[in-house]
Amino acid sequence: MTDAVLATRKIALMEPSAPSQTQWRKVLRAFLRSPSAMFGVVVLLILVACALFAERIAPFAPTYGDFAASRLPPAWIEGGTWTHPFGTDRLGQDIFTRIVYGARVSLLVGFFGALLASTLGVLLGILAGYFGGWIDTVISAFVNIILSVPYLVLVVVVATIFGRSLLNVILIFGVTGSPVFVRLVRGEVLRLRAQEYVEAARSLGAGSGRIIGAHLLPNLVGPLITVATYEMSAMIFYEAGLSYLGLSVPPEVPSWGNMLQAGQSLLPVLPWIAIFPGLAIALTALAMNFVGDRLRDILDPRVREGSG
Amino acid sequence: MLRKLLIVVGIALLAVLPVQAQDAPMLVISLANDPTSLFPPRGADITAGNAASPLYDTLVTYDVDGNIVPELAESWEISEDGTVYTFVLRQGVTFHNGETFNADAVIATWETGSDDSNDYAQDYQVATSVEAVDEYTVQITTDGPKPLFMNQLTGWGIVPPAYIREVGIDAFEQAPVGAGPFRFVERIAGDRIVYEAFEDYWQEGLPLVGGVTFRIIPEPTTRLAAIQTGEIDIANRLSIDEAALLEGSDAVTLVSYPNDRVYYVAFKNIGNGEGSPLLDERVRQALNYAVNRQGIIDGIFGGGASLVDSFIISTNLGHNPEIQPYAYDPERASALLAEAGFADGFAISMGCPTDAYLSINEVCLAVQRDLGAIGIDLTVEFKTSNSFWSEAEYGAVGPMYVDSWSSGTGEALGRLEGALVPGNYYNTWHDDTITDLINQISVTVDRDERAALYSEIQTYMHENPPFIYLYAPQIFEATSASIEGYAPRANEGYDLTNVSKAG
Amino acid sequence: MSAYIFRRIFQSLLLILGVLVLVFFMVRLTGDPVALMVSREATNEQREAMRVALGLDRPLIVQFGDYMGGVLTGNLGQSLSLGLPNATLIGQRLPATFELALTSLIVALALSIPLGVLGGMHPGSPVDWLGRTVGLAGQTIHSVWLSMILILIFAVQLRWLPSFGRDGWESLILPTIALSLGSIGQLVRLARSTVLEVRRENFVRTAHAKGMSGQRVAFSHIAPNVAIPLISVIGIGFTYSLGGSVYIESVFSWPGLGSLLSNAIGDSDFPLVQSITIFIALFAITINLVTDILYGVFDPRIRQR
Repeated sequence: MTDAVLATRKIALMEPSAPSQTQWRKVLRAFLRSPSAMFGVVVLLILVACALFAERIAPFAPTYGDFAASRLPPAWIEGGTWTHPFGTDRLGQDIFTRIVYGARVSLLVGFFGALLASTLGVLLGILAGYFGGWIDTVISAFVNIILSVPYLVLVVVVATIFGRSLLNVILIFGVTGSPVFVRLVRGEVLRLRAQEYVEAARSLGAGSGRIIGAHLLPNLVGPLITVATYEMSAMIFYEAGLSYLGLSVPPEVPSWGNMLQAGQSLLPVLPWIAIFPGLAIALTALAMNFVGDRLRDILDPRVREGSG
Repeated sequence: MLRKLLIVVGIALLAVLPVQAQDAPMLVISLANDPTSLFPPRGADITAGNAASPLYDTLVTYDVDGNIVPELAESWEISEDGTVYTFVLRQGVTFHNGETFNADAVIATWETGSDDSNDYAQDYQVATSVEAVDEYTVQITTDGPKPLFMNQLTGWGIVPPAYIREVGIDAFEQAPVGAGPFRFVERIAGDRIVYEAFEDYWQEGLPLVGGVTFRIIPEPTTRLAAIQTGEIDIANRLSIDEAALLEGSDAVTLVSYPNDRVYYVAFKNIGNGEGSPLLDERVRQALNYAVNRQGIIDGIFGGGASLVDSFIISTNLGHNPEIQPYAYDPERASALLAEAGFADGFAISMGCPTDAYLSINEVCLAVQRDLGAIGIDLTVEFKTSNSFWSEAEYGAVGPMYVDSWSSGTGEALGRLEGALVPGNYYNTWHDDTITDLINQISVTVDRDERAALYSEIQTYMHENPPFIYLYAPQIFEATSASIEGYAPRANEGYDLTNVSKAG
Repeated sequence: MSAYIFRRIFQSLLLILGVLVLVFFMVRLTGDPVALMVSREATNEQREAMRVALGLDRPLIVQFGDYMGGVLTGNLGQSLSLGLPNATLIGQRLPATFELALTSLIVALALSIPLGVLGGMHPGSPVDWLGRTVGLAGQTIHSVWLSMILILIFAVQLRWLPSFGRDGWESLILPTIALSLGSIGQLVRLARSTVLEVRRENFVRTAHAKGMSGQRVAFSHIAPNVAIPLISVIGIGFTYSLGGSVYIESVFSWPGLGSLLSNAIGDSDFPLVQSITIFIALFAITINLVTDILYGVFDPRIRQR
C-alpha cells in the first residue's frame, strides 16, 4: 500500500508550495466548506477526546470484567443491556469501554509512528540531499532496500523479530515508514539547492542551517502534514493487520487490532466482539482520508481535486 | 461487470489448476495446522498423529473404550518380571509397497524409531532390544518394568523393513509406507495430504471409503464455514460456540468428548522461583481459591470444559472422586494470604504461551484479573510457545506460567513425570514426596496397586498444590451427516478404518 | 538505451545484495530456532548438539558466508517446522501465490484504470464519485475483515462459492475480491492523479487553447501521456498484492507463499521466514525492474535521469 501511496505522492508533491499566513486562513475556510473534511475533523476530535479522557468517558476500567456478564450482545439486541451498550466479550469486559481505550492505542501508534517516520525522514532527507556524496549514497541505499520489500511483508518480519510491545510497534512503523519522507525531503532539498535564491543566500554567507531553516522547511510543512495524515491512517490499519498475526501490542492492551483479532474467530458466533473494533478502524481510516484529501487539495494546488 | 470479468479470468485459469478425480467417495478432514511429519517418531504434535495414523497399523491398539486389543500382533505374553514381551504376529499382512509384514518389520520399526534424530525416540528407546524368535514371533525387552509399555506400543507405526533401510528416514518421511488401511498418495505442504484406500489391506472389505484428504485450514471461521457448506466431512478442534452454531443443522452431526489434558498455572520453586512467596503452601492454596475457574469455563469456554481437582482427571486410573476442586472463594484466599504474611499481596509475573492453545490469552487475562482482586499484582508475559519452551525449566518466564499436559494412556503418569520429576527438561517444581510417589508408580506393574498410588498422589497434590489447577477441555468435532462409524478417542487420536461416507 | 537497462539491472543487483544482508542480520537478532527442532523432553546436551548440527554455534561471519553461498547456489536451507528444503516449499507454493496475485492485479487494473482515468477526465462526475468511493472503501475496510464477511455471505449463506482452498476457478473468486480491493483503492487514486497531472501540462492547455475539441485532446494528447506512467502502476499493484497475500491467504487457506509465511512466523521457523522474505523481495525487485525498463522504453525522458 505504501508503495502505491508513495507513487501517488511522487506525482502529487513534485512542487510543494509554502503556505503563508493568509493561506493558513484559507486552509481553515476551505475546511469549513467541505462537509467530508468537517466530518473527518469531528470524528478525529472525538477520537482524541476518547484517547485523552478515556477514564472519564468509559463506564468501566479497561480490564474490568465480570464472568456473570460475559457474552452479552449489544443493548438493542434481545438479551443486551444499556449497562454494556456494545455488549461484552467472553471475559465479561465492556466492549464500549475497550473501544474508547482502544482509541488511545491506535492514536498513539498512528501519531507517534508518523511523527517518528517524518522526523527521521526529514533528518535523513536533509542529510542526503544537502551533503550528497557518500552520505546520500548510504541513505538512498537504505531507502531503496526498505522500499524494495513489499511493505506488509517487511513490517510482519520486523515485528516477528522484535516482539510485541507498544514501543516496538511505534518504532517499527517509524523506521519502515520513513523512506516516504526521506524521498520527499531529499527531492525538495535537491530542487532548492539548484535554485538561484539559495545560491544567492549562500554567496551572501548564509550557513547550511540557515538555508534549511529559512527556505526548505517552510516549503515542506504542507506536504509533510498531508503525507503524515495518510501515514497515520495507514499505520492504524497495519496495527490491526499485525494483531491478526499476533504481532502487535500484548493481548491485555485494549487496542482495536487486538479486539478484532480476539473476535475474528467468534465472528459467526458472537459477532459484536469483532464488529465494533472493525467499524472503529474503518471510521478512523475514513476520517483521516477525508482530512488528508482536503489538506492535499488545499496545500498542493497542482492536484486540486474536483477543479477543472 | 465484476462477476463477468472474474468468470472470464477463472475460465482462463481453469486449464492450469489441478483437477481432483472423484470416483469413490473421499473423506475430507480439516487439520488446524500442517503436521510436522508423517513418520510417527517425528510426528511431535497431535495433528501429526492424527494425520499419520491411517497409514500405519500397530502391534496393539485401543478399542473404543480405551482397552488394549490386538492389531498386527495376534497374542502376547509378558514375563514375570515385566521386562520381556513376546508377540505372536499376524500372518498374511502386506505393506503398501508389497513387502510382507514379519518380525523383521518390528525390528526395523524399533531401529529407525530409536534414531536420535527423532523427536520421540525415547518412546522406542524404552525397549533395549527387539529380537526375532522366528519369522512371526518377536521378543521385546525393556529396561526394567514399564507398566505403560503396551500403551506406548500403540504409537509404534510398523514400517516396511527393506524400504526404510534402503531410503533412510528423511526420504521415508516424504513418501511414507505402512501396513494401514490407507496408502500415501501426495502431500502438498500447507495445503493437503492425500491418501487412497489400500486394496490389499489385511482386514477384508476395509476401509469403507475410497480415500482420505486432509485439508489444512488454520482459520477457525473458515473451518466452520467449510463444514457447513459440506466442503469437509470432519472438522476437528471446534470451540463450543462454533459447535452450538452447528447444532440443529441437518447436514452436520456433532461429536463431543472429554480431552485427557489438564490446563494449569505452574509454579517454580527452583530458578527464579527460589525465595518467592510461592514456597508457602498457604499462598499456593490461596491462589487456587482466588481463581474463578468456573467463570473461565462458562465465560471463555461456554461450559465446554470441566473442573479439575488435581493432575489426575476423573477418567484417569486411580482418580479419587471424593476430592473436590478448589471452590472460588476470594475471602478465604485473602485470609490464607494474610496468614502467610502477605496481607497486602505481592507482585509476581506469569508466562503465557500466546500461540499454543485454544483461547489461552483470555485464560491468562482472567487469571491476572482474579489474582488482582486479592491484591496480587500479576504481570503476564505473553510469549510465543517457541521462546517460552526454548529454555530449560521455562527459564525465560516468571515464577508462574500457564501450560497444559496431555496423556494418551488413560493414566496420568506421562504428565506427572514430565512436569514433576526433577531433571526433566520442563520440571520446575521439586517436591520429594511427589517424586517418590511418581517413581513408585512408574515401576508398579500391578494395576490396582498403581491405582492406589495415583489416589495417594492426587490427595497430596490437592493439599500441596504445585499448580493452580484450571480445567480439562471438552473437544468438539463435527461430521457431515453422510459420515457413519466415526469414533474419536479421548487420547486425541482417531481411527478411520470403519468410517463410511454416503454418495 | 542499453546503458539505461544495464544501469537499472546493476542497481537491482545492489538492492538484492542489500536485502540479503538486511534479512540475514535481522533474523539473527533474536529467537532460538533450536527449541522448535527438539521435543519438549530433550535434554540440554541434545539441544546443544542440534545447535552445532545447524551451525548456529559458529561465528556470525562464517554463517553469513555460508548463507550467501547457499543463496547463490539456490540452496535456501531447510525448514525447521516442515522438514523440507525451503526452496522446495517455495517452489510448491509459488504457483498459487502467482495465480492469486496475478488475478487480483488484473481485476484491480481492469477496474481502477477506467475508474481513475474517467474520474480524472471528469472530476466531480458520477464516475469520479464511484471511483473515489471504491478507492476509499479499499483504504478503510480491512482486508482480513472483508474476507471473513465474504466467506459468511457467499460461502455460508448463499452457498455460491467455496469458502477455502484452491480447487478450480470458483475458489479463486473470494480471495481475489479481498486482495484486489486494497490495491484498487490505491490504483484508482494513482490513475486519477496521473490524469489530472497530464491535463495540467502546458501542451494540453495549448491544445485546448488552439480550439481542439475535448475528445480530440483526450485521445491525441492525454491518452499517450497517461499510458506511460501507468506502466509503473503494474509494478506497484503487483508488489502490493504480494504483501497483502500474507493475510488473505491465511484466511482462505490458499496454499501460497503468504500463508506459508504466516505459518512460519507462528512456528518461529526462522530459516523459512528468511527464505520467503528474500524470495518475495527478489520477486518484487524483478517486477519493478521489468516495469522500469518498459517505462524507459516508452518514455525516453526517463532514460536521461
